[in-house]
Amino acid sequence: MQRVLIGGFGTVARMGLRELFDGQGVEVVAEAEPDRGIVSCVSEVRPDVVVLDLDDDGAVDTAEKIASEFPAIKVIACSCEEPVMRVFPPFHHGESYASMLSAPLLALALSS
Amino acid sequence: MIDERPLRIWIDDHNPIFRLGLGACLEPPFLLAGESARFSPEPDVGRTDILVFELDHAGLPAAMRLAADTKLLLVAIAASAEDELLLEAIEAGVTGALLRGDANPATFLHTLRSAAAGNGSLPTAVLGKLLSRPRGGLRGANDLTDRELGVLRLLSKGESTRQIAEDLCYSEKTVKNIVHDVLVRMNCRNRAQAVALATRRGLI
Repeated sequence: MQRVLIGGFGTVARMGLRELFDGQGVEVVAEAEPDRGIVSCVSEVRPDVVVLDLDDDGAVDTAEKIASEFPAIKVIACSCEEPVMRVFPPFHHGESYASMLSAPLLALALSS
Repeated sequence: MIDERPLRIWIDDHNPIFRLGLGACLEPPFLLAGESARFSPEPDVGRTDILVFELDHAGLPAAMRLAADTKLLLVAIAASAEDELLLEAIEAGVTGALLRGDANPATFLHTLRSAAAGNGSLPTAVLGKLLSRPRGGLRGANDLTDRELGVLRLLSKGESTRQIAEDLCYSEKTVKNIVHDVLVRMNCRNRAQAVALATRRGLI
């Protein structure tokens, strides 16, 4: 089972993510607020995947920091406004690719 | 008292996470009838009591078209309280509105319950914006329609109600109604004052 940390997002979006993760073999191990330090929470929890709110200021910086400090962790930054996401695969030194955001594509990004 | 029969909610939003989240907020008597992104697939109006849709230049006319000649209730999701489309949506007959950034289960369910009970519901920030607008309705005092401006222009030439009616092929009663609307919107006591004000503001 994949262990996921959710960083940022409003209440509705978090509920949407949890809805999406249900039945995907994904366990949400923590939820972190941007201002409380997502990176320190990652350090504490050591998830397999971090799902960030791409609409938060500094989300990309946070993703790059996680990729740098915890290279084995995958980071997926999803927007709640536009249907787009940016995926930072593990062991890619912070390199990322952008993708359309849909439930199947997010599930694929989580599992692949 | 709200009728506790199931109420079917269709959610249209182009972001899958937000859309799924709104669906997850639902609790009885609200049931998810279906969901779509930018009206694809088209909401099944026959199986929907309340359509929750994303307020934008495509969403509003699409929702209004679906709701025409039906009992479908409309709840708009607006990007912010500053969204000018909100005023258009309210004038067009939207029952409730929700701000995207403030949405949570409580506000969403409250908006749905109010709509189901036949009461409108708007976020406080939107109400404040509405109440702070100039007198004369939801449109501003300078937001006259082409028809109203046409009548005002002829009034400024000194034409009588009958002459304006003949010029514009309206009945005299229609012209009187338009003049009345203009006076209310511009908060003027008489035609001369409205003409003077419209001239000063560069409307005619």
